Amino acid sequence: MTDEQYHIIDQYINNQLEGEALLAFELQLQQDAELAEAVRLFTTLNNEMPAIIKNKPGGEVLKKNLQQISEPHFKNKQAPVVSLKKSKIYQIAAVAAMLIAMAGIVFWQLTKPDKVSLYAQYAGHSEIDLVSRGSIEQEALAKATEYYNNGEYATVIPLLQPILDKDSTNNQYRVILGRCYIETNNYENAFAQLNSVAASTSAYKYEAVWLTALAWLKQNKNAECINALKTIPESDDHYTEAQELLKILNDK
Amino acid sequence: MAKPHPDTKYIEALVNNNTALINEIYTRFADKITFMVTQNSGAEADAADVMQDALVAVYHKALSGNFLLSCPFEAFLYTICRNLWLMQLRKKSRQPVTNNGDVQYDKGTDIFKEAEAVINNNERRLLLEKKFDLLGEGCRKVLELAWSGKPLEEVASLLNNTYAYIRKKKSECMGRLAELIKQSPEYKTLLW
Repeated sequence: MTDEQYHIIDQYINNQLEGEALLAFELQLQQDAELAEAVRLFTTLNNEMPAIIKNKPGGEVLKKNLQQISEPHFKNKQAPVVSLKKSKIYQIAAVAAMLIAMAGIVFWQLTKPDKVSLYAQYAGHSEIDLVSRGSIEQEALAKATEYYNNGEYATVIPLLQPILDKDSTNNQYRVILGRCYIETNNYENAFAQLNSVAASTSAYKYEAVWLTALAWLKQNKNAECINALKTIPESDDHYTEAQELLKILNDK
Repeated sequence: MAKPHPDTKYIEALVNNNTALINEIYTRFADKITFMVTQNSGAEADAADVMQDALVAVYHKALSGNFLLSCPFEAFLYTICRNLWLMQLRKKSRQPVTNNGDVQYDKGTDIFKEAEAVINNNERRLLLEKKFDLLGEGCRKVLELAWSGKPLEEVASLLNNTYAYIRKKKSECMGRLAELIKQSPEYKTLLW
């Protein structure tokens, strides 16, 4: 819809349309479903947004109070899993699924004329949960989690980068940012995040190596991708898929 | 018309951020919520989060001006938490929440309908907030001032602009916001 149409809708819901203009608009409303939907949405926004904006600060204050009050009532709680890696059950299921899928993928690779990129096949998408109770950045982390899980990688970057800048030792944030930069084709920034983790002894070391390999793959730099894949050890979660990808690249 | 239930005091406690009464809510109901969540693939920390989300959702629904608690708060809160947890499990593709056999929590009851209304209101609010935050600063400022109840002439004056410009800008910004909302996957799943 055009800005002019939005302007007329705004006039209509504020009773500022009169005479022939009003009659013409109402006739159009009966015939144009998209216009009718836009009018409904404008009405909803005008009805609900004033209260949403007004009550948001009070909601935030209540949330903080609830966090404090609730603490003694959940004594045995464990911190939520803050992990980019998959759970054990998921890993087992994923390996099983992968073995079944491998034969299919190889067949599909050989037969599909219009190939989806190898990157798209291997990058996948695991859900994350960055929210950590007690963190002062809970709201931003919750938003970053939601956007990441929705695949809205570009929106995650401005939320997560400032948090990482303040908490520069957090390798989980670093690899997630690295993935977001790969998805947005900003490889320089992706490598800037991933290289230090890949060179460390962090638990996220091989997650970073795997993402580095995928970053090279996405740029069709197969030799660099192969070099990175070869460093992933058998003990790592990504070993099976790394070996599978190596085979495909070496066969090219 | 239904009368307000005596447990309305808990709704008022949330609206007024009354620490003593909110603590009573946790003392009376946290164990039951924890049991429901931990029996259904969750941890105690998940129960704490679900209960918090539910209470915040009730707070916003109460302030929307279209809410009357006509049933016991315990059943009401439990049903909201149960449905919220069910939604989370669906998103994570885990097992569905088992039915505890208590008829008062079944679909079709007033409690269930009231809980559904709170959850739908909450999901809609979260979507509107999320998409509003994606607008540019200029749009957010104009809409915040316009929706605060100020006449557009005053908004124009505050932003050192003409009334005609602000009026046009407001409708364009609402259009941007409407487009962002329509494009989101959640839009079609919610009641509007």
